[in-house]
Amino acid sequence: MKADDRGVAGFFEDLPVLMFILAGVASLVLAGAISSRTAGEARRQTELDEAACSLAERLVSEICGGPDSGGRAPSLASIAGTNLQALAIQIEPGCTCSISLACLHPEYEWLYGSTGTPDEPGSCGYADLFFDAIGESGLVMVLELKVLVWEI
Amino acid sequence: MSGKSDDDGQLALLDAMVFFAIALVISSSLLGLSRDRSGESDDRWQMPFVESALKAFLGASLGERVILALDGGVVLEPWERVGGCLMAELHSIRDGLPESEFGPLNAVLLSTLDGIVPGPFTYSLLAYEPSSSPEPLLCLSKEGCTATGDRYASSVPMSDQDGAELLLVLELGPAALPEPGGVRA
Repeated sequence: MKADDRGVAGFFEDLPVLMFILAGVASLVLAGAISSRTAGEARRQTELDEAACSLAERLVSEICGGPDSGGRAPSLASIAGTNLQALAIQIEPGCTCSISLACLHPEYEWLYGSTGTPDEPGSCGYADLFFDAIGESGLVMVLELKVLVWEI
Repeated sequence: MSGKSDDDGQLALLDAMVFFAIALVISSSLLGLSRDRSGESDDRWQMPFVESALKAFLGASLGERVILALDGGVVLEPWERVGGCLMAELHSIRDGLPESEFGPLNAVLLSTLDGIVPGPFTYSLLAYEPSSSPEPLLCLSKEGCTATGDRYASSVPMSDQDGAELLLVLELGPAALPEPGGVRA
């Protein structure tokens, strides 16, 4: 490879070459950055959903008395005396949650709602579970527990 | 460095253009793949939702008195469980009674499911006897809605009075949006 000046076409011909190469590299770098950010957001969303689902299952298990309850539905009175927000303290560090409980059947009735909503719109994990409870009239009611988890 | 263009300079420009085209293709593929991956929802979080909905539905009380015109009149009290009433209905259907005889009970079951299943979802409750026929013994669906997209199902095996094995399936799916102009005052 003998060095010579035959390949040197001059500044005004090298400039377009430089622009094409820079543009190609920039498109690769930009695509990589966007892809990695998208993957990170998706991973974070999955973690929040997992935290919300885990919290909801733990709350329902606590409300229903755990595995020692023998599958018996809890009473509405016992649920009313449960501090759901205190049970939700064991959540992932850096996250907070909002809990709501409502009776869907036989009639809709709002039972419990914790304060706190996200300050800014962002990623939130969501979980929704149903369970039975015995009302004052002896009827078995369907209750719905909703959990929202977001980063502080 | 006279600025005179020659074949070697032209070749460098062609190489740069080829590199740029390949870089664009790779970038587009990367972006397309990342969007596809992020668009795929992780459906495993839907399963506890459907499973708990079916379990709670079967364990709930009817909530109102139901009178069926069978054998001179059968009265189902409000505290009777949905699961028990459903099994009695399926037992009768297996014995040859038409589903229409249980219209009032099915209306209450549909009303209960309407209260449990959130609005954006449509549902179907199906009962199968796996040992006899692939066709469902009973199918109760939300009226006026068609499911679009992915569906989520949960099943519970049950036995009727004769010990026949039955399978209850609750299927949920996002409901189709109403067509423009379809809402009447």
